[in-house]
Amino acid sequence: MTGLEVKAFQKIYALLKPNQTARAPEAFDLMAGILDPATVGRGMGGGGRGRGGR
Amino acid sequence: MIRKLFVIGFVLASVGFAQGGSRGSKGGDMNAAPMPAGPPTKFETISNTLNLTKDQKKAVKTMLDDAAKEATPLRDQLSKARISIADAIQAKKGDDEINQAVNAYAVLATQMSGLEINTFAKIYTDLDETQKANKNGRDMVFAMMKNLFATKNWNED
Repeated sequence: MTGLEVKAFQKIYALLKPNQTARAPEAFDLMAGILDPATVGRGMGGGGRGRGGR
Repeated sequence: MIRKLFVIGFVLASVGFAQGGSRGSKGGDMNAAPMPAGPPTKFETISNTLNLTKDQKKAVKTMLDDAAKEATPLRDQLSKARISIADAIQAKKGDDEINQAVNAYAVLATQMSGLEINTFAKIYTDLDETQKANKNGRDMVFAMMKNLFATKNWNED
């Protein structure tokens, strides 16, 4: 599942302009569990882990 | 016209405040049964789903709180590991290096899954035979365990 998130992130990252990439790693952190329906929508978590998925 | 709208808005807002003041009763009737304060917490959902007794509730709460404490450093490490993956992608590292970062993350994710499953196993051990036989409840709570400790306060969304 993490592999799929990485592939999706790589595709998204490739679309970004140089001035949009600064906070990309944080966006990837927020993508945790985004492809897992069980975890989506659980709200923003603490400790920097957005949706809390893995 | 604007003034009229302003007055209507003010009146509606006042009605809203008045209703807010009587929260906990139905339609202003003070003898009516109180409305629930909000959605149940995760712990309430677990307790109700498994039909826990008072003593079991106390024990299960302690188990979950202890597991959450154990999960705290792991959660921080998971976050850092994800950032490392993104950093590797950002730095245009090769697949080998990216895979290495993904594998390091997977090790931590496995530890977190282990913690979740072990916590469920402890809760399950504490159940009586009737509670254990409640397949739907058991399955629901097991599903709830996934990523339960992914947030700072496991009992809140």
